[in-house]
Parts: sequence; structure tokens; C-alpha cells
Amino acid sequence: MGSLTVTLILADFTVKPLVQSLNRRSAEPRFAARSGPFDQVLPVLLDPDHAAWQPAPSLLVVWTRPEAAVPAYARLLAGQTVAPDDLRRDVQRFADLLRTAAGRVATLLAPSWSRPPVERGLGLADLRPGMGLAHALTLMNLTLADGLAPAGNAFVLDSQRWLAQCGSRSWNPKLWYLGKLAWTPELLALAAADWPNSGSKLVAQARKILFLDLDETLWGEILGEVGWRRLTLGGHHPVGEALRDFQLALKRLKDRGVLLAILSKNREELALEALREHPEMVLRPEDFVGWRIDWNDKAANLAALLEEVNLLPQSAVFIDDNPAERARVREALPEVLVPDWPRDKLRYREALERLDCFDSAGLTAEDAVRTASYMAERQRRQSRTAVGSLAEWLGSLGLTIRVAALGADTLPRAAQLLNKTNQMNLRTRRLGEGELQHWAVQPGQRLWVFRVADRFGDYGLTAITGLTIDGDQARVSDFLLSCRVMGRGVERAMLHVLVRAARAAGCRTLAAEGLPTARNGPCLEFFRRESGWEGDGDRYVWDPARDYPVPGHVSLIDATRPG
Amino acid sequence: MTTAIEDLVLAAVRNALDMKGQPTDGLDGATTLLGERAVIDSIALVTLIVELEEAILERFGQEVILAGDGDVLGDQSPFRTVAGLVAHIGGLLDQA
Repeated sequence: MGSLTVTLILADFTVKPLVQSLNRRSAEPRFAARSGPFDQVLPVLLDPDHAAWQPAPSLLVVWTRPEAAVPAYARLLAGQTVAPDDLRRDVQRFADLLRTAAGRVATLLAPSWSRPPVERGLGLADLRPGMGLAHALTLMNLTLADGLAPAGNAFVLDSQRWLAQCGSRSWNPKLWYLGKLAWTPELLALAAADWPNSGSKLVAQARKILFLDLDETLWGEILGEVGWRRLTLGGHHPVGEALRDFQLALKRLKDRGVLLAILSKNREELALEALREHPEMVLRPEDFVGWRIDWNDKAANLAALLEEVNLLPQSAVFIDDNPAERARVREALPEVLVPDWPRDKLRYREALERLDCFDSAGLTAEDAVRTASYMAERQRRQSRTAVGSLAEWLGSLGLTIRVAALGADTLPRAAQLLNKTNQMNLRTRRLGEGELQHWAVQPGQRLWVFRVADRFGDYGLTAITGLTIDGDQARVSDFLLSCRVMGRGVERAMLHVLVRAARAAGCRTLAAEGLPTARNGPCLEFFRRESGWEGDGDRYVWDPARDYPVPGHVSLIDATRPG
Repeated sequence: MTTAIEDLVLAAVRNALDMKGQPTDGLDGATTLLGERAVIDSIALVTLIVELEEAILERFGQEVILAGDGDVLGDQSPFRTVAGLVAHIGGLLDQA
């Protein structure tokens, strides 16, 4: 069971039902939520020493009514004409406050401003600039979203989604007048169920790979019976259109960094021909990181493919139209998420869009090319079988590692890696972008990021390590790398950088203390068996006076910037 | 009619306790809704009142105002117990 996310909710209305809903969650992530003092949003935001900040929250939710947070909007509500620039200016001031507050927490969430759906405003003129409330709110929400974007760890949540679900039950004037509830407990409960997968701190929960069946899932009909030309896909046919839209939605997921893989009971050459040749096919073979198209058990095939891409069952989702196949995978691999799947193909895209397990805080360059990166990995593995010893194979890779100090350009990817890496992670420290940036510039702290490439392609920024230097003592604060580059010598290059830095800082000892988790066994095992550091339990040391060599097959390029 | 009203009130109290994840057994006319031994907090009571007004309109076809003057939490509040609230609703329906 994971730790509790300490959450502070600042609001200008009663949020007790929201706090209760969050604290009652039994599923991960779980919360220790509390509300700040009633209607004291600005005083708390303006005062970092306010008692409401203790104990320090990692998640801050700021939920305000537009008339309370934006004076120009209050004037508009009072019937005055307000220039759009006045609204923008007030919202930008509020966004400045939120950005500052975001520096104190891992993640900040601000639900977008809304009006009760029963309010008609000015009717036809409600989207007119200067007078319409709908126009003003749209402008304000966009300005707020733009204003928070530079923070990296601060997000505007779309409250319209909850309002659309609750409809007229989202608001009741009596609840406001009697209990200062701006939204009904039903809407607040929806919000509490929706946002746990939001925010960079929580991205560690996101699933990384989606396994898909083919017949009656990616396309209609049984390929082996009708041939690829007669598959139902695209065209002027409701099911064909729906399945093409489903594939388009899958393609968007892939472009966001989610890996796609195929598990199908079919003849491989026929299935690949269908994927290549069907004119309406959106997903082509190159969109998949791998496949098992044969007559074997899908659970066993899924486990084998996971091993191939070095991911855990907790990272996987399985979609299949056949309930028996779903039950089999659920039984054999309970950590794989197997959603119930509609029988009606017109509902496939909706079922996919409802899954919140792929939610992420943002998109990095590494996400966009992840499938290509795994494809390159497959080529590497094929080359591995063609080369004799491990040393020969490593030597054939032409591995280049570029090390640099953490910078503004690498901060988003570094924070993402820090929060997503589980297996090869010494201390599993989770920090939002703001926290990481703040930590890295403190006296005595050093943090390096590593980009790895070889002759098959660029892995991107895939490793981070850091030191805390206190007098003549150096301690490893972070040591983590993506499972995609494990076992290539990157680990040793990272230790080389740490030893060199400790020596340069005049340290007499360098220690790495592992924090065991359910998943970081591979990292602790590396220190125990392969690092060469002297160990006792989970603590390992190296004398900085001794050099720690970079592996011979690695070319280390030092782009470390001063400071 | 009293039984029907009590059923509505107890269903609403159960719903409020469900929302808080609390047990719903043992509820009866003596169940305290307001004060030291109340089974629900003041915000849940407000929500319960609003829900009850809607349920009464649906069940009896009559609009009643259970709390319109804001005196929900005072000493003379009719919301102190389930039985008190049932009697209050019965009286309002009789007047309607």
C-alpha cells in the first residue's frame, strides 16, 4: 500500500464533503486531505508561514468562485461593463499567486471557474465581450491556464466535466444559503474521484502499455474466415466508422507515449498483412512495440512481451472483446488492468476515453518517440543474438552518454523520470518540478542528468543521479535510470560521475543508502553485486580518492555546466 | 402518513451516512441529528434537508420549506432527532 498524499484544499466555500470523499478512498493513490480556513484563500496563499501550511502538503488544491478570486468578474456580475483586459489583469495576478504557491508543493490543482448550469446569464449576449458572463469565464479560464503553464507542476482542472455529469444536480441555491456549499456533495464527490490521476506527483500511477486483441476489437469480423479485404473497418458503415475512430483514439494514446502491443489468436502473416494493406487501417505494424500473434495462451504471451520491453504487469492494460480471454488474464496476472469491455462496437472509443489510467501531466519529447525507441531496442536485442559474448555485444552498441547538470530545458523530463521510475531507483524520491528545481539549487546539492544513445537510436534523457555534500561527507541523494538502459554500463558511468564530483568537493567518504521498496530490488541488487562498492545491508560506500572507471565500451561526454 | 414520512427521513439519513462511509444500522426515531450525539455533521444535515424537500415534493406532490429562515441549528430546531423532524414535516404537510 502506498503512502498518503498530504493534501491541502483552499476554498472560499464549504468543501467538507470533498475532504471526506478524498479521505475515504480505498484505491491508490490515497489521501490525507484537509481544508484550509474557510474563505481565507488569499491570506493563506500570500503567507508562506500561515499555520495552514503545516503539516506541509504535497498536493495543493485551490478551488475558488470566480467572483471571489477575480474582482473584475464581481463587477461584471454586479452589472458593470468590464473590459476584457481588466479581467485578464486580475486573473494574471491570481495566477502569479498560484505559481508562487506551486513552488511549495509537488502539485497544484485549480478547478476551472464555472457557473451553475441553470444560470442563463445574458442569453443571446452571454458570449459578448465586455458584458457576457460566459465570455468572461472562458477568457478567465484560458488566461489562468496560460498563467499556470510555466510552473510545470500547476494545472487547471476542467470542472465542466463534472458539471456535465451532474447537470442540474450540480448546484442548489439552498445548499449555498444554508451551508455555503457552492457545489453539491454529488459534484464534489465526482471531483474527488476524478483528480487523483492528475498532476505530476501522481503520474507514477499511470499505465505505460496497452495490449490489444485484433478480431472484433481493432476490426470487425474474423480475419482468418473473411480475409483482410472483407474486414469491417472504416467506410460508410456505422461499425466500420466506430472502429476506425477507436483506432484513431489508440493512435493518439501512442503519440502521448503509451506503448501499443498486439495479443491475437491468429496467423501472424495474415494479421500483419491486414495491418499493412487494409486502406482504412489507422494503426500499422510500426505503431506497435511488439506482438504475439499465435494460438498460445494470451496471459503467457502478455507476460513474455512485458519481459521483452522490460515493464511490470502494473504498467499494463489489456483490451479484448472476448470475456473469457479477459477473465484468463485477470486470473493469471491480477496486476494487469483488464477493463470490462462493451459488446457494442459503437461504444469502444467511449470505453477507451473513459479510462483514466493513462492520464499524464504533460508530454515530453521522450514520450512522443517512445515506440520508436522500443523498436530500436528490439533491433538491439536481435543484434545481441548475432554477437557472441555480452562484452562483445556491449562493445558493438557504440554507447554514448552525455552528462549535464539539471537545467530548465531538462527539468520537465527529469521530474517525470524521477516520479515514474520504480525498478532501478535507489531511493524512490518523488518531487514535482518546482520542488526538484528548488532542491537542486540549494547549497551542497548536485544533480546530473544523462542522455544515452547508441548506434540504433537515441534513448533520450534516461538517468538521473545526485549528491548531497555536507563538509567532507557526500551522500547519494538520487540514483535512478530507465529500465530501457539497464545493464548497458550506464550505471557505472553514473557512479564515475558521483565519485569524481565527491573527490572534487574534497569529500573523504561517499555513501549510497538504499531505501527498499516493493519494486526497487534490481537497483539494490546492482549495488550489492555489481557496483564494486563496499556494502553493509543497504548502505554502500566508496573512497572518493579512488577512481571509479567508466566502462571501456562507453563514451562519456561531459557537458556539465559550472554551478 | 407518519410512517411514510419516517421512511423518507430514515432513507435520507442512511444516504448521508453512506456518503460519509459510516454504518447505517440502528437508526430509528430517537436517532440524534443535531447536537453532541448527532450521527451526522451540520453540513450533512443541510444536505439532508435539501434532499428531503425534493423527496417530499416527489412523494406527496407538495412543496414544503423545511428550512427557509436559516434557523436550522438553533435550540428550537425541529431537526434535533428523526422523530422531531418527522413531526415537523407532518405538521407542514397538514398546513399545506
